Amino acid sequence: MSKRMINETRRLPQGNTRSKVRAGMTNQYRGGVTRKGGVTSYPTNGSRTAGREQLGFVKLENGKEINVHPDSLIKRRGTGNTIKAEPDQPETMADHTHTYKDESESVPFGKEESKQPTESRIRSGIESGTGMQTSQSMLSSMLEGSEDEENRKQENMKKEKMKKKGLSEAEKNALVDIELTETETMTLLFIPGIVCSDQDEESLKATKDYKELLKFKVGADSYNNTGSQTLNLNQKVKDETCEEMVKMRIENEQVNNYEIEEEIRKEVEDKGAEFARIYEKSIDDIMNDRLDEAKGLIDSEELVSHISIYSQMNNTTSQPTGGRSVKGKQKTKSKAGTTSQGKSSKNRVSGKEGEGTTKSIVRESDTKSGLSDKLSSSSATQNYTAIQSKTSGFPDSLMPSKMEFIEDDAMLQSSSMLKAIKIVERLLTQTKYHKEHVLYTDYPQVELPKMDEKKNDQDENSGGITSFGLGAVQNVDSNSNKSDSNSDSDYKDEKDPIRLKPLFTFECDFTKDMNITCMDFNKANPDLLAVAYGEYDMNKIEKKNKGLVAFWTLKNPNFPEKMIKTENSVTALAFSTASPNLIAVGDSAGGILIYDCQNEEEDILPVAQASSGKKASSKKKESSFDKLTVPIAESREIDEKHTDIIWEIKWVQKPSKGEVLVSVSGDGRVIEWSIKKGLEYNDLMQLKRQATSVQKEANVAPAGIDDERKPGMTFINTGGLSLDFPAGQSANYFAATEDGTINRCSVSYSERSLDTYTGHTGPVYKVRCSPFWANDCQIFATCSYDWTVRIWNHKEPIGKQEKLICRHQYLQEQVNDIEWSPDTSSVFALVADDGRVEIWDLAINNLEPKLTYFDKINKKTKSNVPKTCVRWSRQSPVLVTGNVQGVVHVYRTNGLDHVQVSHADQVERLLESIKKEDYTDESKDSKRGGADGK
Amino acid sequence: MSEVEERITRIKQHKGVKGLLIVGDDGNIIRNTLGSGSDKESKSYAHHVSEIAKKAKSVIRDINPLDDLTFFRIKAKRQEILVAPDKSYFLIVIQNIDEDNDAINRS
Repeated sequence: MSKRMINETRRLPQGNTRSKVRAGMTNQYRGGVTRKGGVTSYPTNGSRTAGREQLGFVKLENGKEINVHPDSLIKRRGTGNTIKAEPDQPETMADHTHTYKDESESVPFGKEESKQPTESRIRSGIESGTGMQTSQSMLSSMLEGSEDEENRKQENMKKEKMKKKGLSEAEKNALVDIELTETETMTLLFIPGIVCSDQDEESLKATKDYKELLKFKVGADSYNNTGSQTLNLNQKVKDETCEEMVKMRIENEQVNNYEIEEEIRKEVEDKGAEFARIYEKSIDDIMNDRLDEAKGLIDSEELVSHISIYSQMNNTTSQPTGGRSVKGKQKTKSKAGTTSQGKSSKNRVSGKEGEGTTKSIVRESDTKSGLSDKLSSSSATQNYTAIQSKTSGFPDSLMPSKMEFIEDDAMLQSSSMLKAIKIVERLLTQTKYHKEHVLYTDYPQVELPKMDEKKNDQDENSGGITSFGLGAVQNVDSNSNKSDSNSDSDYKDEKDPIRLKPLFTFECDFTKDMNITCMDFNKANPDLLAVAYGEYDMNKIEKKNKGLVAFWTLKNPNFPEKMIKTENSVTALAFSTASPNLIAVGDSAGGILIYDCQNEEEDILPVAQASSGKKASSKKKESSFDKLTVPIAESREIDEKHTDIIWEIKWVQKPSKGEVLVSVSGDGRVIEWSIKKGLEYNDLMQLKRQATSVQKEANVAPAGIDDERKPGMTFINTGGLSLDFPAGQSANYFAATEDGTINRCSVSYSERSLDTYTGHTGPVYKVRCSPFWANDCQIFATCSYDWTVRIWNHKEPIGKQEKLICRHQYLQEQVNDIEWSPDTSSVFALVADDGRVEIWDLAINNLEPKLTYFDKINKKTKSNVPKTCVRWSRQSPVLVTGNVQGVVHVYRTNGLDHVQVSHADQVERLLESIKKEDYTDESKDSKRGGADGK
Repeated sequence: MSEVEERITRIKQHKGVKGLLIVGDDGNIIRNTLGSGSDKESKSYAHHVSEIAKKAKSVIRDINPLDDLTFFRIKAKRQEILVAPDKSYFLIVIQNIDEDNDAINRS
């Protein structure tokens, strides 16, 4: 109502009928008086007025322009108009109390108290009903803070009209029903009072008691004033799981294995029995409860649900113990049978009669379980299924978790499972790498670019061919990019350029960042590649101790087929030719281990080992027995084994002895091992330092010493880095040394080397004899720290043996490995420390490589990963390289001439390519090389 | 972790592999890597594939009683189902072919 007054005050300056306003005011005043009476009926009048103040304040906050505070309102009125403020004040007060009361409707009052205000309010409503309504509408408009004067005017006009109409006496006296339904009751705070009547005997007594207690309290020791917590603190809800407490008992007792086993079984059984008991009991309880009641009904559903759970529980729990299940099932079935019988008798078994019959039935079926089982089984199963469908929710959730665990363990242990998984894994990789596999195995379709004319014919065959063609196109693209990036683009325009196309990378978590030291293809299965991981650098001790041999197949480039973990770094390995399942491994501690990789067991045991103590491969238990060789006893441990890193191992087929193993080590010794009876060794050679001609020339040392060729020099050992036997020979071999010399030695003559080849100015890392070794073609190649690869012909007279120095003009890193192509006599591949792969074809050009290939440069380090190892696949046109980060790259080589010619032709080709070696006359040679290429 | 477990995790990591199921002879799913929320899907796989696996097994047996089924794969337009049945369970791997092709094309 105060709002209306505000509006009135607003209206006043506009000079409308003042008398009307006054009349309205007097009207209000009257209402105010009556309301005042209502207000006074409040017991807590003071608080109400306080509430009024608050209310005014709230309005002040919400209404922006209009100051709602009653006091200021009055002032404004007083100043703006000449109307006196004083007489209005009680009215406004009353007004506010009224509105407050309206809003405080939800506050529960005592009955007697609440009656009066409501009445008065109703009355006031009658008297100034319209006013009240408008006041409320105004309140809302006020709260909205609307400044629209027009609206306000209109509203005021309406109000004036209403007032003009006025309230006739009849209207005033008429009873108006006001339903108080405007606001829902909102409980903001509810503290239920504890009310009890004065007449309540109990409460009276309690008060009395309390008063008496207080009397005692005075001066009594046992009573004193302390604060205490009377409200209950909120309880924290926390889930916890705990296993059953294991009862520990310490007793001196001897236990056998079978006793433990029995005990465990018993426990399982006990659990099953316990569950059975629990559910049996609950069924009985239900039965009894129902039967005890007079005219009780057996709720078959309730019972039956229990039975179904019980029986299922019984099945699960008794599964491991086998025997129990029969009994449990019978029981439950018979029980179910009874219930079904009960059901059939209209589901109702009444009172005492029922007690007798049902119980007897139960007992009967218990005792004659076999018979009743038969009888009731059909009905029982029917019932059972019905029950299951009804109660499927609960037992289902109960069951499978248990079942799963039981089966899971057994399943995952089974070998057939492993087999199945292996199959699936391989097939997955097959789908993924199908194209690469095709390239790897060199199906003829791959040569599609050459067979463009035939394309039409082939297109009809299958869609796969076109995809190969597509692959070839991609290949060309990538290659052109490659050669662009390469420094030499000389061979880009050549008719049939040699290309390398990366197929796979063999790497996994285990091999990450491990230096690849050696690789070898299995002789029998050319797709199986053994890779040795280790560390040459003795300073990296933590790495040195880890060794790994991984067996990769193209069937799964993501994970090796098999792994052998060794204690020491693996530095050399070789597959045996005679028995391809054997692999010889040399480690950085000088130990030689022979493994049988056919072993299906996960642990591959070294069948023979020669190392100091049990150090080598101590992760695997020392095999006390093996099918192939006599185990090495303690006494047979070889003292004379290598004392330094084994750099290379070779299997050599000897006419008399069968296959033997020859190893060369950093200690300069070449040892022949026989595995016929354990490991037997035979020193072949002690590599001695030779004063080489190069050293003589290059050495800054006093000339006198070298020239005289001190005899003492022969006693200085030198480390051997590599050795190779010419193909098909076992008598002579070549050994490369740290000094840059290559020695040709004889197996039977261990004192001195037969020949010494000098020329390299750094350690010779590898020596490789040409696979097309013949009497008239004794060519071998060496690679060295001095950035060069040299080709030697043993047949040439001493001093002229060094035929070719093959070095790319940009190759400024040590050459780590070299390997002759098994297919073409004049082709070899090399890898260097700057990560390059080079393929040379001497027949085409013996000055520059046919191909220099770099892997994609690592964006992080912006440098190539040094490659340490290179191998040709024996059957596929594939080249594999290993790098220092444990990654094996498999490349498909394209464009190499696979000369399918006789051995003699191959020899001739090689000799020819070397003959035209007048590399002093470079221009002439290169021309010839180009001509030969075409 | 047993070797079987290791291999299962490796299979899961393969590109395009949607999931691996081990289903018991009775059609219960013993192991499911399809992920939660695909119960319905995995159940339908388990149900239908085990049916065809049983059939395939019987076909092989009928042709030669000494022979036994070790593996079969169903190649569809959208996916490939690899099944390795055994005495008491089936190993089912579902591979999405679309993704696989994408991978090949990209490489």
